[in-house]
Amino acid sequence: MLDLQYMILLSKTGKVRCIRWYGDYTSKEKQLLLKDIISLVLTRNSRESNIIEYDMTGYATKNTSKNGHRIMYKRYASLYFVAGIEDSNSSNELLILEAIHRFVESLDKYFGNVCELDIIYNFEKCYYIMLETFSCDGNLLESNKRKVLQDIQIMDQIESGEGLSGLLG
Amino acid sequence: MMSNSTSRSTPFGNLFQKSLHDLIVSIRACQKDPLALSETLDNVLKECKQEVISSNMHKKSTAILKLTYLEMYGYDMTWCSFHVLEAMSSSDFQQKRIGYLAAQQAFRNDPDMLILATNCLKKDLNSYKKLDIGIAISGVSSIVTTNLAKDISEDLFRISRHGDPYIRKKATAALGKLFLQYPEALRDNLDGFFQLLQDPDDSVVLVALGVIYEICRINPSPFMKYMPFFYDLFAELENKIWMIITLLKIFTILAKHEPKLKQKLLPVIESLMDHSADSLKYECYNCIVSGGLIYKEDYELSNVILTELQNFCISRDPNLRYVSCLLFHKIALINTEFISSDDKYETLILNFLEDPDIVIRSKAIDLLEPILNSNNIESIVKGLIQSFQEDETKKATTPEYKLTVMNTLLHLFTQKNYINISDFNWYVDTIVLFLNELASLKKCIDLDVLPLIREIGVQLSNVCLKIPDLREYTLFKFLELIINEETYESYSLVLKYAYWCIGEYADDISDCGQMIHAILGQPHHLKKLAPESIEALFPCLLKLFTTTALEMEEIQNSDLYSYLINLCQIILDFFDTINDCKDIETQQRLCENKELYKMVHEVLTVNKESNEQLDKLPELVTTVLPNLYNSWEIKPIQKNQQLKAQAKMNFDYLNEQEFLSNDDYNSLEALIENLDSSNKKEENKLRKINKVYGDDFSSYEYNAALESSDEEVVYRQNDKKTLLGTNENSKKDTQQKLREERKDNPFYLYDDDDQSNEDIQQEEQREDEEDEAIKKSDKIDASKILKFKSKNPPAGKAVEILSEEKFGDDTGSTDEDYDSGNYKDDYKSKLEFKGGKINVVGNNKLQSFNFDNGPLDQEYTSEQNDNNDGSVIEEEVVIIKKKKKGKKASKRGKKIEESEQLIN
Repeated sequence: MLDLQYMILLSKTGKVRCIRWYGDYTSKEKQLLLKDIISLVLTRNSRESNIIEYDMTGYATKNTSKNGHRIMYKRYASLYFVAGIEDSNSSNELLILEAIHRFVESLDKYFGNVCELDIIYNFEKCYYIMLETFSCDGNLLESNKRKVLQDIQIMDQIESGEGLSGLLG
Repeated sequence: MMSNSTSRSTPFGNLFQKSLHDLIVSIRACQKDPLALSETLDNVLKECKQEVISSNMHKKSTAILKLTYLEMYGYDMTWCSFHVLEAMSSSDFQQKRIGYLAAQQAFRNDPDMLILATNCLKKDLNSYKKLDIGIAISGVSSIVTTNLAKDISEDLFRISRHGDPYIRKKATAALGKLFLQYPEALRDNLDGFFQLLQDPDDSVVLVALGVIYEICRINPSPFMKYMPFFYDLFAELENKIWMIITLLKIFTILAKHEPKLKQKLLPVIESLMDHSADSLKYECYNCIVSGGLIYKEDYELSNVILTELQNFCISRDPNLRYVSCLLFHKIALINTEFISSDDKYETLILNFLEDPDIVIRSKAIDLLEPILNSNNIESIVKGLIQSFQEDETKKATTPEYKLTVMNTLLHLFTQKNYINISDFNWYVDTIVLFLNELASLKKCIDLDVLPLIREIGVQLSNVCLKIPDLREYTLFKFLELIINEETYESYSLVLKYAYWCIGEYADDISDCGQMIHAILGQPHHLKKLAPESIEALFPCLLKLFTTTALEMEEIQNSDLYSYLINLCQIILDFFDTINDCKDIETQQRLCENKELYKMVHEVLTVNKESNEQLDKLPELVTTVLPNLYNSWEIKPIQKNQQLKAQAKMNFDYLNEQEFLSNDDYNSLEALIENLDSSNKKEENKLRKINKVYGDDFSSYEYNAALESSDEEVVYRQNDKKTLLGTNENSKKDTQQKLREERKDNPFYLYDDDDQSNEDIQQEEQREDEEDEAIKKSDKIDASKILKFKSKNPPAGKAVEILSEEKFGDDTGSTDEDYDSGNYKDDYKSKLEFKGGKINVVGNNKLQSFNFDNGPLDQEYTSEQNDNNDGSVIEEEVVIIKKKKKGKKASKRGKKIEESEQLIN
């Protein structure tokens, strides 16, 4: 019910920190879209809404119709969390911002006062959390951040446990 | 808690391998130096290529992780898909996790990879370890294809009944993705899937609802029968906002599909509207508005929603303002009266138009239609145009925004036969002002402003055409545009319409001769005009010339002849300057007109020299020229009326009366005989002319045919003169003459040294001309050329707008219907729910999937059949709707055919 097309973590300098595409985009579309997203998102100021209407008609190839498109973003400290949604009649923009917030809360809990550097150096952890929060078609998988953390912790324990057992063995 | 597990878990054995951490550090170290950066990246890639083929699984997986990191920055990693697969099938959880992550990030839709991955996925799905199943399910759902879906649907359904809610949740999400590829799985297990909605774990229920919503968007019909179930579930959810919102979304779609649900749904939704969460409130409004729960005449309900929305509108949160703007728009689409009925909404929308956020302002432009009326249009437009200039102060504007504003306003001005306009002088001034704005837009970026310039031209001509009282004022504006240099540089296309109007309404111009001077005053600019504008100029000049000639004859002007000869010469001089025009149509018009004016010029000169009847003009000017254009008055007609007129045209009179009577016929034959004999003489004459004029003879022939008998004498004299001239002149002179004739024609080439001399002369001459022209254009005073016949241009409602004529008493489509319908269709198609469209694109098969035809148990089918009657009728209703929307019908033709078969 979120219909995310992508989720991108952008630094305020315009660097991509994490990126996940849920919609079907060709690599050329991805490139062009990313370029536009960066320039659009970084020029917004805090008094403006978190929604950008974006027309993709120029890029989309003939048999894809991703023209109606809205870019939702939210800024947390030096990081922008950008989500793309289809421009459908039923999208709930407020809910998407809420979902982004849940994700950020999970990150914050996991890293303990998350900062940009945590995400830069542990990008795979960020992905794992993303995988637990959003399902592969861009919908919400788990709304409860406690459960997300619980599952991630179990997996991390197995990882380190296996590493340890490998060491002992 | 935070730890770098990658480096910590490799205490021995991989001492010399760079960890991901090292990689990121080294990349960040040389971030400021692009050269060093690319060198580092190259090195890293080389290392990874080495490491990835290593037999040490740990080394391999670390390399894959590093490559996944680099992939984020656009480095391809498809070359190592096999190694990723190795990592995926590793028994080590960490390596497996890395492998699946890489697979999800980098290989969605890689066929080779998928064939190899199927076995690995199946194995992991059947693993006894909970977490292995978990990550395998994530992997499956990212890369699922039809074939893979067939293979694993059984497994997934089995896993969806796993003891652990974590696995059930993941399996449910994966099933959603799988149904899109393989709808048969859902058809055969519909009830099984619905059991997931009764799962004790909330997360599973939420995910299952999300899946149902996704499928509903594409094909809601299989879920109609579960409506009571949804309703009960809805009643049980107390404060689980995510689930309530998802259910509301499902209701929105189902209610659109089955309007009868309104009775049942509306009270429940209304009870939720005072909830504290904004997102839930918004979803409620949206459900009512988008789900079609509000009818055209539900003023009460609309008022409730709009009043609630006010809180959003005046909120400090720009996102709430944005969504309220969206909802206003959707409500306006149902019935604009909802919003125009109350003044308070006007203020709200005006606030939107002044919002600091340009996204909200752009959205609010679409809301102008319901609130715009003849009383507020001037202040609103004034405010909007002012906002264009506020760039530096506080509000950002973009050229695109300006373009949208002008486009929308132009549309609204003409709506319903100018219902919004009270002061037409203001209207004309405003759209001329838009030209200036467009000029500045053209400078800043290469936006396509031509359609708008064209639209403005069309609207100005329409004012001339439809509102006779405004004609003079508009012509005056056109003249101002013509003598303004800016016009030629930035929006010359508008001149096409200016020329046409000036020509057509030449009778309203007091001094057409001056008008010709004004139009031709800037030949260096005219040369650069677009061909279509120049084409419009030819008839314009002709009309002006004829009008001025007739008027001067009427007032018995003493130097009638010399004035007209001079005017003729000016026009011919202008034609010489555009001789090298490259457009073929313009060339054609140019040739025709040139000959026409040459003829007029000669006739006038001869008449003047012969000193006969100097107060009367030859018939060529008084009759032939006006007849070239003066047949019918042009009047506005309604769209498509011409076609209707043609269909009803009666040709019976052709049978009743013979076209030619016998007498006519006889005299015609005699005439033809005469012609035959005279033709021979004529031919001889033409041959001689041919020698002198070369190619030009054809146009002479044409002109000769045009001549009436009265002119013949004059014409003969002409011929003699030219013939005499050639006899006297030597051959060299003839050649020289020919050359001059052809010097501007690009199809004739002469020696360069001859040409260069001429060129210099020409250039000098041209410069002189230009100087003169500039002086002239300074002198021209618009008010002198156009004297208003009525002293004050009229203002206010008293202005008469010509109604568009229509054929017979056709009540089919009135002007209003046409206009308003058009608007709504435009925006509807913009807002139209795009689910179908998008899903055709993705390779999912749900949309065209028929849930009713399948290898089902006998019992189950018969049960289905009972319901079928209802659903078939349902389908029919949908089809009719689709057919009304012409375009859609053809697109979905296939589907209609299918469902028609179903009915039969």
